[in-house]
Amino acid sequence: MDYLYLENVTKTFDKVVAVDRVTLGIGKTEFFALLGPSGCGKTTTLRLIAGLEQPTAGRIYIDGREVTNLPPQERNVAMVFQDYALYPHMTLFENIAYPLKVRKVSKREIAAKVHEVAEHLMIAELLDRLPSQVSGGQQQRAAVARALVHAPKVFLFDEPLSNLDAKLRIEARAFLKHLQKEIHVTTVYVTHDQAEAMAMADRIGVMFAGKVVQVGAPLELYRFPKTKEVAAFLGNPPMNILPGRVQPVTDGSQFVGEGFVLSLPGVHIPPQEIYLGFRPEHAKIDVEPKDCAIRARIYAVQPLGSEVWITLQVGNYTVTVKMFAEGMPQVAEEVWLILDQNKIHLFDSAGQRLSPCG
Amino acid sequence: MQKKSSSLVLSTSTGLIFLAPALLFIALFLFFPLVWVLIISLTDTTLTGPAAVSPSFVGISNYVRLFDLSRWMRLGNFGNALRNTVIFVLGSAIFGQVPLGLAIALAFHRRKGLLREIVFSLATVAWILPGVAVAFAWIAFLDRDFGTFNALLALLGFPKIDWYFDYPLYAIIIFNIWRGTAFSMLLFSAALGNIPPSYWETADVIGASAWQRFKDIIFPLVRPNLFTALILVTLWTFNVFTPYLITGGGPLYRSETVPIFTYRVAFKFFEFGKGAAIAVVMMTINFILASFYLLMQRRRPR
Amino acid sequence: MRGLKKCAFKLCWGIFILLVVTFFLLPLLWLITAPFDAKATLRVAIPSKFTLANFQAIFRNTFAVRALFLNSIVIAGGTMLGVTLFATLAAYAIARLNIPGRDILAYLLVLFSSVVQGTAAMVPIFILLFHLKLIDTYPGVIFVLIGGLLPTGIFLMRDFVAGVPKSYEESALVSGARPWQVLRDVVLPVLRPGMMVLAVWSFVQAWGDFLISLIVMRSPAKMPAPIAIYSFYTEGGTPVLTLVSAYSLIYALPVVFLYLFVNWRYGFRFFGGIKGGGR
Repeated sequence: MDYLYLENVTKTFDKVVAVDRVTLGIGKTEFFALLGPSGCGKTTTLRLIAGLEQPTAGRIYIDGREVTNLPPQERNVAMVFQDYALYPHMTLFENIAYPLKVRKVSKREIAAKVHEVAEHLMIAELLDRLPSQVSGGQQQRAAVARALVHAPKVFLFDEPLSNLDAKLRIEARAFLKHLQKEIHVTTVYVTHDQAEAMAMADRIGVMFAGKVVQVGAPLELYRFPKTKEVAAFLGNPPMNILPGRVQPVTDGSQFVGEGFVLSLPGVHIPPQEIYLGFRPEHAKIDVEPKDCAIRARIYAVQPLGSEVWITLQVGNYTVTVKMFAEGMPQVAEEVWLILDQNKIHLFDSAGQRLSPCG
Repeated sequence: MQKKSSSLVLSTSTGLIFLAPALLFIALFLFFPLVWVLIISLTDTTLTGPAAVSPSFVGISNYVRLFDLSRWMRLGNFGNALRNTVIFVLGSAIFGQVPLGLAIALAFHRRKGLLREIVFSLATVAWILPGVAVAFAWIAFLDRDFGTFNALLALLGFPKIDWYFDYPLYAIIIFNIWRGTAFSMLLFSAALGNIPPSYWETADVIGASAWQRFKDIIFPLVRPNLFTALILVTLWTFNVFTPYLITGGGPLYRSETVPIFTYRVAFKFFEFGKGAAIAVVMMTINFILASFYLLMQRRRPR
Repeated sequence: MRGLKKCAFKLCWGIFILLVVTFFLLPLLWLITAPFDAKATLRVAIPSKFTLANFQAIFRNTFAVRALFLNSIVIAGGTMLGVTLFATLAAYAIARLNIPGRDILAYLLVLFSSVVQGTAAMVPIFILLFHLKLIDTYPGVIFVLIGGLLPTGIFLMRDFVAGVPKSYEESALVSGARPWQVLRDVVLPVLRPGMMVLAVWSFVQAWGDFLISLIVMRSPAKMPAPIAIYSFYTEGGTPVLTLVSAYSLIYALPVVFLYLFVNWRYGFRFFGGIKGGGR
């Protein structure tokens, strides 16, 4: 069995199903991200693992032992909260030492362990300060230190970077990833920021409306999303998804969208309503039509330094294309949108991924 | 239906134990008296004498006696006390403490500094000093021959006022304004402080006059607090007992308010049946005022 | 023309402030001049003969001293402990327990505590204490005071407890603490400032109370300061001003100090709304 295993776990609050028959297996030392929009159930799932909520149904196992009915203090997990939850009346030292203090560890050992972990997290000189006297980034590291200090079996993070400003967030991301690799603790990391999940996780579990929709390595989810929700959630700017109809033509199919037609050679699927998706970096604009081109009008151009985002009006829809700044042709009002044939995604009317061969 | 605690720290049973002492006190000293006073008011209970040992049920005769319109305005009766109280509340609460507190809060809003600290501290000290101490201070202050108030009047060329004999009700009105203004002052001060600075800056840019600012920015935003203050201050002023220490309700009941009247009937003569009837009337008025207050609170988004 | 208008406005403001300061200051002056005057009158005057003899006379009077330094302290202290403890426990339980109809209960509490107050409440309460044999006892007075202050006290603490994030408690649990440890190590220390405010407030309220003591206490030996002060009257029924003024001053001082302390520590303001507790 996996190190951390959730078996058909369900959690209902009054009439609302927050977590819906979730089954997840997470390996030892794995960095697993739970990703999804607000309200999708990812934080509730985390709290179920911690023991802060009791599942309505299902079981939870940690390191082979069933913990479903154990209170949090007996599970030997650690959690970093979104607001860090550092006790304002204790110094950083006392905060970090707290898990050891309640386990009745000797004072000498506490001091040694706290200093060790503080060194690791580069806050050793701040140990006698109060949380209100250190910066946000330092508070966050103190919260991480407190979680680490008693060598937990599972490390739980609840959106720990959302209270940091943008620049600090990027630094902290690298720091946490590096730390996790060094310490080899099984980690479950909840976030709504897809870039964060992609950058840090070994595997991602995407959740929508209480269900885990897809689990896999970041690039796997990015390249082969199982549903159009997953496809749209990952990637910045998000994948362009256009509704339309597909019908067969000689040696392939034809996609009829609102206001345009696109030929899809080599695609053989029965005629139906579908969604066509392509990522902004898998398309470009040109002044001359090439294969797989659609007429488009420029709506807005956003130069971002090394790349340019161009928003276009295609038929009745707005799509975004991402291109490198060098090699961008002269921009005119009317251009041609050219898609990379091999990187097109197709989803059926229910949003499920379609294989091009039916 | 199982009552589940929303906290892993506090189990339902421990939580109820935590709650128990407070609930016991509240049951004993709030609910129980409320019910019992109604019952007593329908009897002729007294502390001593035959009626104490075996009180008899007298129906609503205590109330009838209170509201006997042919005699109730006589000095020393309920109607007199009620009239005094209405004047007292109008003068010291509605047209006294609340407007004065608002005026001071307005005078000092957006201004900091020593003067503000002095005024606020003085008003607050007047509010929180023990009643007996300020009562003596006011007896001295209003004394006809030696009091500071009359000394000031003499300085300005005005004749002395014999507060105790000529204007006892006005005396306690002024006293109560002095005593309670701090509450309104602090309340309005906090409310004014909650108005975002961007409102003022916009008004500056537009060039609004002081009166326009008051009418269009301050008053609408402060209005809910105004009603809250009026109701609460009215409620407290209606029940306040401290003026007893200055005038004793006299001379000859001319400054006797309903609380003082209640005290006299119930605890000077120990006629509990009658005292209970007055208490019920007082509580009914309190109830009406408190209900208004709660209605206002519910309407306001918290 | 505009400048003239502004000038007039400033003048009016100045006069208003002057009147306000005078209004609040003047009545208090007697309390700081008369106690130091061997020949104190009802006048406010700089003592011709500055003296501390009045205070000495008071301290020689064992009855008065006992009233002030024993009875008043016992009553106010007992009330403070009771209100702080019970209100905090109750507020915490209300915040964390999922009692259905919690808000209705809160409204009812405000309603009843507003209705049952003052002399009106004392009529049935006196009879209750009489039957419980608590007339003329410390607990009698203290219990009544606690009962009267608890509703407002619970409201004060309720706001405070709401400010304690649940994540503090949850984090402690996940760290391995048992519930009682969480209460002792995390919840109580964080609630301490609120409890301090509650303690000071309830102490000041009880310290200044005279109605309840007046009605419930019968024996002179147990009467607190506000009642004992009336023993400084002559047989003719006039107050001995030297003693009365000095006693009033001593009696008022703790409140002044507490106010200065609270003002320094927290600033004396209404932080988010009124929850009652005035006069």
